[in-house]
Amino acid sequence: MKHLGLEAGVFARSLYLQYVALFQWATVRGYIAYKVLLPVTQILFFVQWGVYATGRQNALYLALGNALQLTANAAIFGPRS
Amino acid sequence: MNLLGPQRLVVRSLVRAAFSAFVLSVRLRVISPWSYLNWLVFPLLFAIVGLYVLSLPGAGSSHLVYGVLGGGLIGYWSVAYIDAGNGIQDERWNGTLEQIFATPTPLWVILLGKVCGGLLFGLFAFVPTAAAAFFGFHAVLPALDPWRFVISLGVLTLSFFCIAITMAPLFALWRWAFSMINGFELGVYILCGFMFPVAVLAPWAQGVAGFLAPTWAVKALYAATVAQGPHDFAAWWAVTSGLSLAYLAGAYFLYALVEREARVSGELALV
Repeated sequence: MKHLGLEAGVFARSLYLQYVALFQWATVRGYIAYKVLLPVTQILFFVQWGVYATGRQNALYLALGNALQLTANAAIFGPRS
Repeated sequence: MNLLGPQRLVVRSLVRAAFSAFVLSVRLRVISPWSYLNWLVFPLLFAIVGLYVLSLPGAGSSHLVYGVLGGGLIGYWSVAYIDAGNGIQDERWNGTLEQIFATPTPLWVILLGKVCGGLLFGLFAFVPTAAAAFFGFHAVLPALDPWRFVISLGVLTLSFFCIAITMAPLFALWRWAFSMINGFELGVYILCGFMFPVAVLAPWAQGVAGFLAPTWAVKALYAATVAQGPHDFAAWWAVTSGLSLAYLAGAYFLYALVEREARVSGELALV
Protein backbone atom coordinates (compact mmCIF):
# COMPACT_ATOMS: atom_id res chain seq x y z
CA MET A 1 0.00 0.00 0.00
CA LYS A 2 2.88 2.33 0.92
CA HIS A 3 4.61 1.48 -2.38
CA LEU A 4 1.44 2.35 -4.30
CA GLY A 5 1.29 5.69 -2.49
CA LEU A 6 4.89 6.47 -3.47
CA GLU A 7 4.13 5.62 -7.11
CA ALA A 8 1.05 7.86 -7.01
CA GLY A 9 3.25 10.64 -5.61
CA VAL A 10 5.72 10.28 -8.50
CA PHE A 11 2.80 10.32 -10.95
CA ALA A 12 1.39 13.51 -9.39
CA ARG A 13 4.76 15.25 -9.43
CA SER A 14 5.29 14.27 -13.09
CA LEU A 15 1.88 15.74 -13.93
CA TYR A 16 2.78 18.97 -12.16
CA LEU A 17 6.17 19.21 -13.92
CA GLN A 18 4.54 18.65 -17.31
CA TYR A 19 2.11 21.45 -16.48
CA VAL A 20 4.99 23.74 -15.52
CA ALA A 21 6.86 22.82 -18.71
CA LEU A 22 3.79 23.54 -20.79
CA PHE A 23 2.77 26.88 -19.31
CA GLN A 24 5.83 28.32 -17.62
CA TRP A 25 9.18 26.93 -18.71
CA ALA A 26 8.31 26.24 -22.34
CA THR A 27 6.48 29.58 -22.76
CA VAL A 28 3.45 30.33 -24.91
CA ARG A 29 5.66 31.15 -27.92
CA GLY A 30 7.33 27.74 -27.64
CA TYR A 31 3.95 26.09 -27.43
CA ILE A 32 2.74 27.93 -30.54
CA ALA A 33 5.91 27.02 -32.45
CA TYR A 34 5.97 23.30 -31.60
CA LYS A 35 2.31 22.50 -31.02
CA VAL A 36 0.64 24.69 -33.65
CA LEU A 37 3.10 25.77 -36.35
CA LEU A 38 5.03 22.49 -36.62
CA PRO A 39 2.00 20.14 -36.81
CA VAL A 40 0.17 22.34 -39.32
CA THR A 41 3.20 22.70 -41.61
CA GLN A 42 4.03 18.98 -41.26
CA ILE A 43 0.54 17.97 -42.41
CA LEU A 44 0.61 20.53 -45.23
CA PHE A 45 4.04 19.33 -46.40
CA PHE A 46 3.27 15.61 -46.44
CA VAL A 47 -0.20 16.05 -47.97
CA GLN A 48 1.19 18.31 -50.71
CA TRP A 49 4.09 15.91 -51.31
CA GLY A 50 1.79 12.89 -51.49
CA VAL A 51 -0.63 14.68 -53.82
CA TYR A 52 2.28 15.65 -56.09
CA ALA A 53 3.58 12.07 -56.16
CA THR A 54 0.42 9.97 -56.24
CA GLY A 55 -2.56 12.25 -56.89
CA ARG A 56 -5.41 13.69 -54.84
CA GLN A 57 -6.99 10.34 -53.91
CA ASN A 58 -4.51 9.79 -51.03
CA ALA A 59 -4.73 13.29 -49.47
CA LEU A 60 -7.08 12.30 -46.62
CA TYR A 61 -4.99 9.21 -45.80
CA LEU A 62 -1.84 11.33 -45.55
CA ALA A 63 -3.52 14.03 -43.46
CA LEU A 64 -5.01 11.54 -41.00
CA GLY A 65 -1.76 9.56 -40.80
CA ASN A 66 0.23 12.65 -39.93
CA ALA A 67 -2.38 13.81 -37.41
CA LEU A 68 -2.18 10.42 -35.65
CA GLN A 69 1.62 10.48 -35.69
CA LEU A 70 1.71 14.02 -34.25
CA THR A 71 -0.76 13.11 -31.50
CA ALA A 72 1.24 10.01 -30.57
CA ASN A 73 4.45 12.05 -30.62
CA ALA A 74 2.99 14.64 -28.25
CA ALA A 75 1.68 11.97 -25.89
CA ILE A 76 4.98 10.05 -25.75
CA PHE A 77 7.50 12.87 -25.65
CA GLY A 78 5.47 15.51 -23.81
CA PRO A 79 4.68 19.12 -24.54
CA ARG A 80 8.10 20.10 -25.90
CA SER A 81 8.23 17.38 -28.56
CA MET B 1 56.68 54.21 -47.92
CA ASN B 2 54.38 51.23 -48.40
CA LEU B 3 50.94 52.32 -47.05
CA LEU B 4 49.34 49.04 -48.05
CA GLY B 5 51.60 47.07 -45.72
CA PRO B 6 49.66 47.53 -42.42
CA GLN B 7 46.30 47.02 -44.20
CA ARG B 8 47.56 43.83 -45.76
CA LEU B 9 48.67 42.62 -42.34
CA VAL B 10 45.22 43.34 -40.87
CA VAL B 11 43.46 41.52 -43.72
CA ARG B 12 45.82 38.58 -43.37
CA SER B 13 45.16 38.36 -39.62
CA LEU B 14 41.39 38.48 -40.23
CA VAL B 15 41.61 35.70 -42.85
CA ARG B 16 43.72 33.66 -40.43
CA ALA B 17 41.14 34.17 -37.63
CA ALA B 18 38.25 33.16 -39.93
CA PHE B 19 40.16 30.09 -41.10
CA SER B 20 40.92 29.08 -37.49
CA ALA B 21 37.22 29.39 -36.63
CA PHE B 22 36.42 27.28 -39.71
CA VAL B 23 38.89 24.54 -38.73
CA LEU B 24 37.68 24.49 -35.13
CA SER B 25 34.00 24.30 -36.16
CA VAL B 26 34.77 21.42 -38.57
CA ARG B 27 36.67 19.53 -35.86
CA LEU B 28 33.81 20.03 -33.39
CA ARG B 29 31.31 18.73 -35.95
CA VAL B 30 33.43 15.65 -36.67
CA ILE B 31 33.12 14.54 -33.02
CA SER B 32 29.49 15.67 -32.54
CA PRO B 33 26.80 12.93 -32.87
CA TRP B 34 24.18 15.67 -33.35
CA SER B 35 26.01 16.83 -36.46
CA TYR B 36 25.78 13.33 -38.01
CA LEU B 37 22.07 13.25 -37.27
CA ASN B 38 21.67 16.50 -39.22
CA TRP B 39 23.70 15.83 -42.36
CA LEU B 40 23.55 12.02 -42.55
CA VAL B 41 20.56 10.38 -40.81
CA PHE B 42 17.82 12.98 -41.23
CA PRO B 43 18.31 13.69 -44.98
CA LEU B 44 18.80 10.00 -45.70
CA LEU B 45 15.42 9.17 -44.15
CA PHE B 46 13.72 11.87 -46.22
CA ALA B 47 15.53 10.77 -49.37
CA ILE B 48 14.56 7.10 -48.98
CA VAL B 49 10.89 7.93 -48.28
CA GLY B 50 10.92 10.46 -51.13
CA LEU B 51 12.51 8.05 -53.60
CA TYR B 52 10.05 5.33 -52.62
CA VAL B 53 7.01 7.60 -53.05
CA LEU B 54 8.25 9.43 -56.15
CA SER B 55 9.40 6.27 -57.97
CA LEU B 56 5.99 4.60 -57.86
CA PRO B 57 4.85 3.28 -61.27
CA GLY B 58 3.60 6.05 -63.54
CA ALA B 59 5.68 8.86 -61.98
CA GLY B 60 7.63 10.97 -64.49
CA SER B 61 11.42 11.37 -64.50
CA SER B 62 11.00 14.96 -63.29
CA HIS B 63 9.24 13.55 -60.18
CA LEU B 64 12.16 11.25 -59.43
CA VAL B 65 14.62 14.15 -59.59
CA TYR B 66 12.94 15.58 -56.48
CA GLY B 67 13.62 12.29 -54.70
CA VAL B 68 17.30 12.29 -55.73
CA LEU B 69 18.07 15.90 -54.72
CA GLY B 70 15.30 16.67 -52.20
CA GLY B 71 16.79 14.78 -49.24
CA GLY B 72 20.15 16.49 -49.76
CA LEU B 73 18.51 19.91 -49.95
CA ILE B 74 16.62 19.27 -46.71
CA GLY B 75 19.85 18.21 -44.98
CA TYR B 76 21.73 21.20 -46.37
CA TRP B 77 19.04 23.63 -45.17
CA SER B 78 18.84 22.01 -41.72
CA VAL B 79 22.58 22.29 -41.17
CA ALA B 80 22.63 25.86 -42.56
CA TYR B 81 19.98 27.30 -40.27
CA ILE B 82 20.43 25.13 -37.15
CA ASP B 83 24.19 24.54 -36.98
CA ALA B 84 25.49 27.60 -38.78
CA GLY B 85 22.68 29.90 -37.61
CA ASN B 86 23.39 29.10 -33.96
CA GLY B 87 26.97 30.41 -34.27
CA ILE B 88 26.55 32.98 -31.46
CA GLN B 89 24.21 30.81 -29.36
CA ASP B 90 26.84 28.02 -29.29
CA GLU B 91 29.33 30.41 -27.71
CA ARG B 92 26.76 31.45 -25.12
CA TRP B 93 26.00 27.83 -24.22
CA ASN B 94 29.73 27.00 -24.05
CA GLY B 95 30.42 30.04 -21.85
CA THR B 96 32.86 31.55 -24.38
CA LEU B 97 30.77 34.51 -25.60
CA GLU B 98 32.51 37.06 -23.38
CA GLN B 99 35.98 35.87 -24.48
CA ILE B 100 35.00 36.29 -28.14
CA PHE B 101 33.79 39.83 -27.55
CA ALA B 102 36.99 40.61 -25.63
CA THR B 103 39.23 39.66 -28.57
CA PRO B 104 40.23 42.34 -31.12
CA THR B 105 38.86 40.20 -33.97
CA PRO B 106 35.38 41.38 -35.08
CA LEU B 107 32.51 38.98 -34.30
CA TRP B 108 31.50 38.64 -37.95
CA VAL B 109 34.94 37.31 -38.87
CA ILE B 110 34.65 34.46 -36.36
CA LEU B 111 31.11 33.76 -37.49
CA LEU B 112 32.25 33.74 -41.13
CA GLY B 113 34.55 30.80 -40.39
CA LYS B 114 31.95 28.98 -38.31
CA VAL B 115 29.21 29.39 -40.93
CA CYS B 116 31.53 28.16 -43.70
CA GLY B 117 32.26 25.08 -41.57
CA GLY B 118 28.54 24.48 -41.16
CA LEU B 119 27.86 24.87 -44.88
CA LEU B 120 30.64 22.40 -45.72
CA PHE B 121 28.92 19.77 -43.58
CA GLY B 122 25.58 20.72 -45.12
CA LEU B 123 26.97 19.95 -48.57
CA PHE B 124 27.92 16.48 -47.30
CA ALA B 125 24.17 15.74 -47.05
CA PHE B 126 24.07 15.26 -50.84
CA VAL B 127 26.53 12.34 -50.66
CA PRO B 128 24.44 9.76 -48.73
CA THR B 129 21.19 10.81 -50.44
CA ALA B 130 22.67 10.57 -53.96
CA ALA B 131 24.25 7.22 -53.02
CA ALA B 132 20.87 5.93 -51.72
CA ALA B 133 19.22 7.05 -54.97
CA PHE B 134 21.84 5.41 -57.18
CA PHE B 135 22.48 2.16 -55.31
CA GLY B 136 19.07 1.67 -53.71
CA PHE B 137 16.72 2.89 -56.44
CA HIS B 138 18.93 2.96 -59.57
CA ALA B 139 17.89 6.60 -59.96
CA VAL B 140 20.04 9.20 -61.72
CA LEU B 141 19.55 12.80 -62.80
CA PRO B 142 18.04 12.46 -66.30
CA ALA B 143 19.42 15.48 -68.22
CA LEU B 144 22.11 17.04 -66.06
CA ASP B 145 23.61 20.33 -67.29
CA PRO B 146 26.81 20.22 -65.15
CA TRP B 147 27.88 23.86 -65.37
CA ARG B 148 24.45 25.31 -64.66
CA PHE B 149 23.98 22.76 -61.89
CA VAL B 150 27.26 23.75 -60.21
CA ILE B 151 26.54 27.48 -60.54
CA SER B 152 23.02 26.98 -59.15
CA LEU B 153 24.46 25.04 -56.20
CA GLY B 154 26.96 27.86 -55.66
CA VAL B 155 24.17 30.46 -55.73
CA LEU B 156 22.12 28.32 -53.31
CA THR B 157 25.16 28.16 -51.03
CA LEU B 158 25.41 31.95 -51.15
CA SER B 159 21.76 32.24 -50.10
CA PHE B 160 22.19 29.74 -47.25
CA PHE B 161 25.36 31.56 -46.16
CA CYS B 162 23.53 34.91 -46.02
CA ILE B 163 20.58 33.36 -44.16
CA ALA B 164 22.88 31.71 -41.59
CA ILE B 165 24.82 34.97 -41.08
CA THR B 166 21.50 36.82 -40.64
CA MET B 167 19.98 34.26 -38.30
CA ALA B 168 23.00 34.08 -35.96
CA PRO B 169 22.31 37.48 -34.31
CA LEU B 170 18.54 36.95 -34.61
CA PHE B 171 18.70 33.72 -32.56
CA ALA B 172 21.05 35.35 -30.03
CA LEU B 173 18.84 38.40 -29.49
CA TRP B 174 15.46 36.67 -29.32
CA ARG B 175 15.40 33.00 -28.26
CA TRP B 176 11.82 32.55 -29.45
CA ALA B 177 12.99 33.31 -33.03
CA PHE B 178 14.70 29.91 -33.18
CA SER B 179 11.60 28.12 -31.86
CA MET B 180 9.44 29.81 -34.49
CA ILE B 181 11.79 29.08 -37.41
CA ASN B 182 12.39 25.53 -36.14
CA GLY B 183 8.62 25.02 -35.91
CA PHE B 184 8.22 26.36 -39.45
CA GLU B 185 10.97 24.08 -40.85
CA LEU B 186 8.63 22.00 -42.98
CA GLY B 187 6.96 25.21 -44.15
CA VAL B 188 10.33 26.20 -45.61
CA TYR B 189 10.51 22.83 -47.42
CA ILE B 190 7.14 23.68 -49.00
CA LEU B 191 7.85 27.31 -49.89
CA CYS B 192 11.38 26.67 -51.21
CA GLY B 193 10.30 23.68 -53.31
CA PHE B 194 12.78 21.19 -51.85
CA MET B 195 10.69 18.04 -52.49
CA PHE B 196 8.14 19.24 -55.05
CA PRO B 197 7.88 22.29 -57.32
CA VAL B 198 6.53 25.57 -55.95
CA ALA B 199 4.30 25.75 -59.05
CA VAL B 200 1.89 23.21 -57.48
CA LEU B 201 1.15 25.59 -54.57
CA ALA B 202 -1.71 28.10 -54.38
CA PRO B 203 -0.92 31.47 -56.06
CA TRP B 204 -0.73 33.34 -52.71
CA ALA B 205 1.76 30.76 -51.39
CA GLN B 206 3.86 31.15 -54.54
CA GLY B 207 3.86 34.91 -53.86
CA VAL B 208 5.21 34.34 -50.33
CA ALA B 209 7.78 31.84 -51.66
CA GLY B 210 9.05 34.50 -54.06
CA PHE B 211 10.50 36.47 -51.14
CA LEU B 212 12.70 33.55 -50.08
CA ALA B 213 16.10 33.52 -51.78
CA PRO B 214 16.55 29.70 -51.81
CA THR B 215 13.29 29.26 -53.75
CA TRP B 216 14.85 30.68 -56.93
CA ALA B 217 18.16 28.87 -56.53
CA VAL B 218 16.37 25.55 -55.97
CA LYS B 219 14.26 26.22 -59.06
CA ALA B 220 17.48 26.73 -61.06
CA LEU B 221 19.04 23.62 -59.53
CA TYR B 222 16.15 21.40 -60.59
CA ALA B 223 15.92 23.07 -64.00
CA ALA B 224 19.57 22.10 -64.59
CA THR B 225 18.64 18.43 -64.21
CA VAL B 226 15.63 18.19 -66.55
CA ALA B 227 15.14 19.16 -70.19
CA GLN B 228 11.51 20.29 -70.01
CA GLY B 229 10.10 23.49 -68.43
CA PRO B 230 11.43 27.08 -68.29
CA HIS B 231 15.20 27.62 -67.99
CA ASP B 232 15.60 31.29 -66.98
CA PHE B 233 18.84 30.65 -65.10
CA ALA B 234 20.29 34.18 -65.23
CA ALA B 235 17.09 35.71 -63.82
CA TRP B 236 16.79 33.08 -61.05
CA TRP B 237 20.44 33.49 -60.02
CA ALA B 238 20.06 37.29 -60.01
CA VAL B 239 16.91 37.19 -57.83
CA THR B 240 18.57 34.79 -55.38
CA SER B 241 21.68 36.96 -55.13
CA GLY B 242 19.64 40.17 -54.75
CA LEU B 243 17.46 38.75 -51.97
CA SER B 244 20.50 37.25 -50.21
CA LEU B 245 22.24 40.64 -50.20
CA ALA B 246 19.05 42.22 -48.85
CA TYR B 247 19.15 39.73 -45.94
CA LEU B 248 22.78 40.71 -45.31
CA ALA B 249 21.78 44.39 -45.18
CA GLY B 250 19.24 43.49 -42.48
CA ALA B 251 21.91 41.49 -40.66
CA TYR B 252 24.09 44.62 -40.41
CA PHE B 253 21.56 46.24 -38.05
CA LEU B 254 21.14 43.01 -36.07
CA TYR B 255 24.91 42.79 -35.49
CA ALA B 256 24.90 46.40 -34.29
CA LEU B 257 22.18 45.42 -31.80
CA VAL B 258 24.18 42.37 -30.65
CA GLU B 259 27.24 44.61 -30.09
CA ARG B 260 25.12 47.01 -28.06
CA GLU B 261 23.64 44.21 -25.92
CA ALA B 262 27.07 42.65 -25.37
CA ARG B 263 29.31 45.68 -24.89
CA VAL B 264 27.07 48.55 -23.70
CA SER B 265 24.47 46.86 -21.52
CA GLY B 266 26.37 43.56 -21.00
CA GLU B 267 23.05 41.70 -21.12
CA LEU B 268 23.56 39.44 -24.16
CA ALA B 269 24.67 36.44 -22.11
CA LEU B 270 21.56 36.82 -19.95
CA VAL B 271 18.90 36.98 -22.71
